[in-house]
Amino acid sequence: MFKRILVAVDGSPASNAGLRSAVELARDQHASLFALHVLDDGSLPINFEGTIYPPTFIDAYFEATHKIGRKILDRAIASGRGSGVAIKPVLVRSQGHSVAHVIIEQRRKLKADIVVLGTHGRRGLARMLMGSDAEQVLREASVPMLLVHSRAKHPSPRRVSAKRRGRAKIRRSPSIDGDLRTATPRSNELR
Amino acid sequence: MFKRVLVAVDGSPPSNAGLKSAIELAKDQKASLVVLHVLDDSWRP
Repeated sequence: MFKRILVAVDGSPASNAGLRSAVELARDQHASLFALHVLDDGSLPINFEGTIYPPTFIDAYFEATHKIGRKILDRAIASGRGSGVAIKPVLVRSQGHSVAHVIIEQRRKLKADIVVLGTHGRRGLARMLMGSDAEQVLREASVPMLLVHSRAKHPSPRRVSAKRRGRAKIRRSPSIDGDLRTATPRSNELR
Repeated sequence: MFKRVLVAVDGSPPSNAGLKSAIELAKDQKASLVVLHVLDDSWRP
């Protein structure tokens, strides 16, 4: 069903959960697996002329983030190898774009037919600050996505979302979740 | 990899796209597929 899988990694626990599921899916599907790390330079006004940052600072910043990115991808490759999956690493700079934009662009370039992302699923302010990448990719991706919570049990990821372009956002509410479970008897299941 | 797939449907075109993917996934995985439609009565006072 899936031939080319793209997983975005940043070394966080959430991203590691996504990576584990991506490796598992690649093995299950005998698919190629690309691990993408985006070097986010969005906070640097590097594209502006007359930037206030001295060139030495920018060079050092690029070098440091590149090193970290390389390390994150090396670890991903190692964990894939441990499961018998050969991961192809992809390291790109965001060049002022959002991380989500870069993921979507690379998805197209690599012709991946599914995108796997780990997500921490935080709510409120923390979600606004840090949880919006997965959501933005979800809104704009033209292929199915697999979203994996960092608290998902492995090897069976609990939160799966296969979505296409133009779909509404998914919101999770623990209370509604609980109500639904009690309101849905097993006899309602169709097979 | 997946044993039980849940798909939420509301009859809309995007929901049908989701349903198609869910059927494909369930077939591929030889998984059972649960189709859920929620009767939304949240407008009730």
